Parts: sequence; C-alpha cells; structure tokens
Amino acid sequence: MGLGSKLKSLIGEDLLDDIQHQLKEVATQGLDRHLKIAVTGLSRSGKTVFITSLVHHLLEANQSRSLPFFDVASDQRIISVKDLSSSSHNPFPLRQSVQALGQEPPLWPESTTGLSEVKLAIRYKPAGRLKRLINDSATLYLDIIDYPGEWLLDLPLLHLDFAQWCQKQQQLFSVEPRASLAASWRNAQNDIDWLAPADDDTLAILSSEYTKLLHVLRNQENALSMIQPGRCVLPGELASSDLLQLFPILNPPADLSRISAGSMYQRLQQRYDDYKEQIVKRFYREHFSRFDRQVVLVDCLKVLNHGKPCFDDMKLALTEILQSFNYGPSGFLRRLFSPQIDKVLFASSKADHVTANQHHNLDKFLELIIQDAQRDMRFEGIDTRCMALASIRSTESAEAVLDGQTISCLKGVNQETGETMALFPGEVPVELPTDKDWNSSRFRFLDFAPRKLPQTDLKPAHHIRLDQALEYLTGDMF
Amino acid sequence: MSDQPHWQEPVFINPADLKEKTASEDATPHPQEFPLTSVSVTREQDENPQTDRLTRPGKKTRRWSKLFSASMVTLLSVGVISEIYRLLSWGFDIHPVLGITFIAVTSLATLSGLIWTWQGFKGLRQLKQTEALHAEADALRHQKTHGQAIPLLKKLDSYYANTPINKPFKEALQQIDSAYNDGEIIRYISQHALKDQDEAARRCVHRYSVQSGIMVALSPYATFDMWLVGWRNLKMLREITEIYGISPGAATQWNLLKKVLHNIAFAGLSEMTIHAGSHVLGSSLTSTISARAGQGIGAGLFTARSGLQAVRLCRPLPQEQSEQLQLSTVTQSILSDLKP
Repeated sequence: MGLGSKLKSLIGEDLLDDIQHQLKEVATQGLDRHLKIAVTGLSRSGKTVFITSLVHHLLEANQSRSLPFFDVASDQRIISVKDLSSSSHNPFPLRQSVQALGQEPPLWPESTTGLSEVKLAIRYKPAGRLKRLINDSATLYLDIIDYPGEWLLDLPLLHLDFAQWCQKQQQLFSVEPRASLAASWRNAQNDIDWLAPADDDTLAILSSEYTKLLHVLRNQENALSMIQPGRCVLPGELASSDLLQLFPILNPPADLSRISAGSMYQRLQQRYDDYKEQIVKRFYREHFSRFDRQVVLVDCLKVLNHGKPCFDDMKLALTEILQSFNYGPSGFLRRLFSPQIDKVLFASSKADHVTANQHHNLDKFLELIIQDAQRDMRFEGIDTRCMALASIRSTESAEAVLDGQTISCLKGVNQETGETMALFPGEVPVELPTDKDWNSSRFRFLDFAPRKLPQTDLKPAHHIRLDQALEYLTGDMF
Repeated sequence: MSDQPHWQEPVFINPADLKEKTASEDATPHPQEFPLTSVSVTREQDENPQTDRLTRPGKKTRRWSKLFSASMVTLLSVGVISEIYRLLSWGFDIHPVLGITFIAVTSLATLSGLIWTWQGFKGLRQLKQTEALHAEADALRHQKTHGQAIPLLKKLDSYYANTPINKPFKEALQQIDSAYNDGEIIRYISQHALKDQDEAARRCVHRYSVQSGIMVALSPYATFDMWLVGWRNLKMLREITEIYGISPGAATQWNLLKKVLHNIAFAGLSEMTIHAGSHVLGSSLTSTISARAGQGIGAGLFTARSGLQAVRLCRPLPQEQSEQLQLSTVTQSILSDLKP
C-alpha cells in the first residue's frame, strides 16, 4: 500500500483531496494577489453576457474610458490587462462572444452548455505613494468561471439524501402550476410498485418522461426555476449516461425499512447517491468551494412577466443555491488557504429593459426575491448590496408625450421581430403585486436585441453600472 | 379597492413620435412625479442646523458691549474724518500742490480700501454659497432618485460661470449618462469636474506641509516655530482658495481659518491626536530621527490637516475619499519626503 492510499484511508478521501487542492493552489498563487469571483445566476440570467462585457471592458480599460466609477481605471492606473484564459483547460469563448456582439446585426452570445474559465492578469500602479516607492506596478489575478445556470440547481442536493429530496419534490409538485402540468407523469408513477425488483425499461421510460416534463416546466411559458436535477435538462458531457436516468418518487412506500436490494426504489436511490457523489460533489469541489467574491445575477423582469408562481419558484431556487456557498469574513491568510466569500453583489440584470427612473424600484423588487438569502448573509457579517445593471445596453432612453403627459420610454430593436420600437414597459413594483395586479396588461418587458458593442473605443454608454459592480467587487484590492 | 389601477399601463409608441433629443436635454433629466416609495426624507438637512446650534452658542444680546462699540466707532470715524479734513486744509494753506497731493493720496486709500473690502465680502459670499451647495450635494449623494439633482447642477453652473472650472464642469455634464441616478450624477461631477483642482490642491497641501515641517525642524526657537507654522498655513489657505476659484481676501482667509480651526477642534479631536500621534510615533520608530525632526513632522501633519479641511470647505461637492484616507496618503508622502 502506497503512502497516498494509506493517507487516504486514514483521513478520508474528501479531506485529502481538499488539502491537495489547496496546497496546489497556494503553491501556484504564491504571494500574488488573487481574486476569484463567482458569477452565480439561474439559466438565462445573463451570466455569459456579464462575463463577456466585464472582461471586454477590462481588457480595454487602459485605452478607453468606459468605466468612470471604477477608480483604478478612471484614475488611469491600469497599465495593461492580459487574458490568460488560454492556459486553462476550458477557456471562455471570449472572442466569439465579442464578435457576435460586434457584428451587424449584433447577436446575444450563445447560451452556455459547458464549463469555461476566464483568467485575467491586471497590471496596475498602486495608489499610495509609499506603495509605489516599493513597487512600480502590481498585478492582480482575476478568475471567473462560466457554467450553465441549470447545473447550479444541483448544489442544494448536496445536503439532501434521496428520501429528503423526494419529500421536497413532493411538496413542489403538489402546488400549481406544477401539479397540473405533471399530472400525467404523476399518474404514471402511481402504477408502479417501488418495492418490486428493478425494471430498467420502466425506469428509462419514466426518466425520459421526467426530462420532457422538466423542459416543459422551464420553457418560455412557464419559466420555472427550480429544475432538479440540472444535468437532466443540460447533460453536458454526460449525455446518455445511466446516472441521468433519475427522477424523484412522488409516492414513496410508507415503510422505507422494507426496501430490499435490487428494488426499484433502491436502484433510484443508488443512482441519486452516485449522481451526488460523482457529478455534483466533483463540480462543487473543483469549481465552487473557493471563492472570494460573489455576484448573483437575477432576471427580475422574467419574474414580473410571469407572475407569482415564477416569483416563488425563483425565490426558493436562489435561497437554496446560496446556502451552498461558504460565507465568512476573509482576511489575507484566509484568502490564501481557505477562501470564503466576504462580499456579495445582488444584481438585477437587464436594467436597460426598464426606464432609468425604475432602477431604484428594480433594486427594491430584487430585495424581495433575495431577502431570505440576504438575511442569512448579513447574519454572517457579509457585505451585500443590490444593484440594477445592464452588462450591455440594448436600448436608448427617449421620451414621448402620451395624453398630454411626457413619459420616458425606451427605444431599441425588438429581439423577435427585428423592428425598431419604442416602448414604455410599465413600472416596476416595489412590493409583491396582489393577485389582481398580476395580469397581462401591467408589465410588458420585452426582450431587446443588443446594440453593437465595438471592439475598441468603449464608452460608458455601452453598459449600465458595470463599473460600479466592478468597483464594489474588486475596488479594495487595488 | 377601486377598479382604477394605480399603475400606468405599458404602451407601445411609434418610434417616429418620439421627441428628438437635443444635447442640452441629454444632460438634464426631466421633471417628473415620483412614487412616494422612491423618495426618502433626507436626514442630513435636518441635522445640520442642529449641530450648528450645538457647536455655536447663540449670541446673547449684549447691550452694553454693542453700545460701547457703536459709540467707539462713531467717535473714531468722526475723529479720523475731522483729522483728514484738517490735514487737507492745512495742506492747501501751505501750497495748493501739497493739498492736491493729500487729496489724491486720501482718495486712493479710500478707493483701494473699498475694493479690498468688497473682494473680501465676495469671497465670504462665495464661501457661504459653497457651504450651502456642499450640504445640498451631501444630501443627494446617496439618493437613488431621478431628477432631483437638476436644481443643484443649475446652481453649480452659475457658480462656476466665468471661472476656469467651467470647461471641465461642462464636459463632465455632457458625459453624464441617462441611466445615472442623482447620487451617481453628483459623484460623477465631483470626480471628473474638479480633477485638476484636486490634484493642484493636493500638491499645494503637500508642498506647504513639507515646508513648514522642514522650517520647524530647522528653527532654533520654539516661539519662532509658531509664527512659521501660522505664516505657512495662511499662505496655503490663500492658495487653496485661489485654486478653487474663490476670491481671496483678508476676510475670506480669516473666515476660512476660523472654520478650519473650528472643524479641526470639534471634528473628532481625540481621533485626530491619536492619528497624528501614531504617524509621528510610527515614523520615529522606523527611523532614528531627532526630537526636532519629530516636531517638524508634527507641524507638517498639522499643516496637512488644516489644508485638507480647507479643501473640504472650498469644494462645493463632497469628496469621495474619506478624510482619514486622504490624510494618510498625504502623510505618507510627507513622511517619505521628510525622512532622509
């Protein structure tokens, strides 16, 4: 028996993995200043666009003056920013994304289907004169990863065993609109004896039905967020793996102690445990356990367009996801050895889809969605902030006279029809609208096509508050 | 609940019907109504007069002293005027040329005196205006509302009309994004319009601090030290007022000095001594400097602190950096200059 395996048996595989990983990281980081930013957000919340725009603006920061509220850039202390992503296994497709946004007509970047990584080295002049005496320039390494938002929903599974998960899903599927949408699938489950010996064909049929159901739940019309397990809808490299033939049992046998090996229930339980161990845990361990700062992107407009079920579902999903991250005060040594998130920015993306005077309301509405998660973080002493931002601005502000009253409105290109249009999209409420108010005529937040993002010569008008987000997340490091 | 909805419905608008925007409209948001929820009552405005009342005891009507000074002024002015009259008549008695010379000298003195006083009052008025603008901007700084910064921007525009700051101010005004809320507009203008002035003022404070530090370190007499520091401080104040476009004059300078000392004395006296002390101590530990050089550093720090206070008072917009941070950056540069 080698030393490695002996150690493994002594202190457990997880811990050893952890230590190995940390030692490797400490060795590569040395005393350079590193910052790892977690960009968290459900699918379609704008993570890829956020990362693209952020990196693009940073790379141009020494030439253009597009980040007036990012102090190190507006003081012109950034010497140069280098993209080191190519050293990573899965580099972020920055060039393609920027190209897509820069072509005529510009397109939103493709939605993410796999994991990718951005590494930036920012060389800057330190602010203090004393620091400048010691060192003419310093470097900050910035790591950001991009991943499909669907996978994020697997993180809450880490705390649950199969029975608990089934119970949670049971509760979820008992409420509208899930209850009626899933009626046929529930009925199909009713006929099955879970204690009977496993029948792979039945399981395969049920799981493919379940996958179809999940797709229906998250489509444009229903727009639900709590879709578990996430790999079922977006398998990535795991397509057609047995592990993904997984679904919750909505009518589990009353007495779980009678479950025998080889039964249907046991088979699903086994798959669930394997899924958790081999996919979720690995994903979390390799990419999600070590962060210093976090951005949580939330698409509030989707919620407003879809009503209360969507609101409740998103709130639940975000609250559960955010419980999986490590929060705590983080000092210099901590950052080196066991980083914890000490600053969280909640950003409602697509702020350009509402008029500027509604941004404050958007902040307030975002607070409604994340209030539970935010309360927990504040309790841990974490610095949190809400901000309405737009990574890429797709509209111009304009104004029109309506019934003798001047109202500010938006002008942009409709994503679906491709026509230029002007729209007053309605007011963002600052509290949860009553049932009477959730109706189709109140909100009309349409999707706009992006405006062209030039390769060089970026301007503050190409984004909304991206600079303030950067300042909040990284400002104290410069 | 009535059927009338309390919100405005979304509408499509024909792009051709949009009002064409002009450049001037770009910079200024438009008047509009606010939902009550987005408006928050600004506390700072209410608190300011209170603290003023606390720190400045109300003047009691002291009848006798008033009477005394009024009679004294009358007596002296009557005396001076009659004396000048006698001087002039005496001059004319001797020779008309001497009389005319006396008249010329007297009118020159009166005229220059009047202009000087007027300048001083102008500076005072500007200082008062600055204070009011500062308070207003401070209240707006963390507001997320829209449209409330316009009156302030208009006031700033007239405040800076015909000064060298007008150009950068106008430029910054044009660059304001339509998505900025009031707080962001204030912060943007504060950071971008006064950039050159801030840098000049920082260099000025640094230079005078180092000067007074070195002078005190080299001067042999303690009483002489005081004069040196006072002299340098006054000169620095005058320069700072000039940098920020405030008309310099004895009255302005006197008023500013009073406020600076008042602020230093009342705004966290203990904190200041601890801070300055720690800098002196820290520097004396790291390098073996003589007691005299230590005194010099102390004097330099004092000058730096009063200079920063003067900058704060002369700036119509609040600064973004905290005062502690500014002081420590200036201190660092002073220390690195004073230490061999």
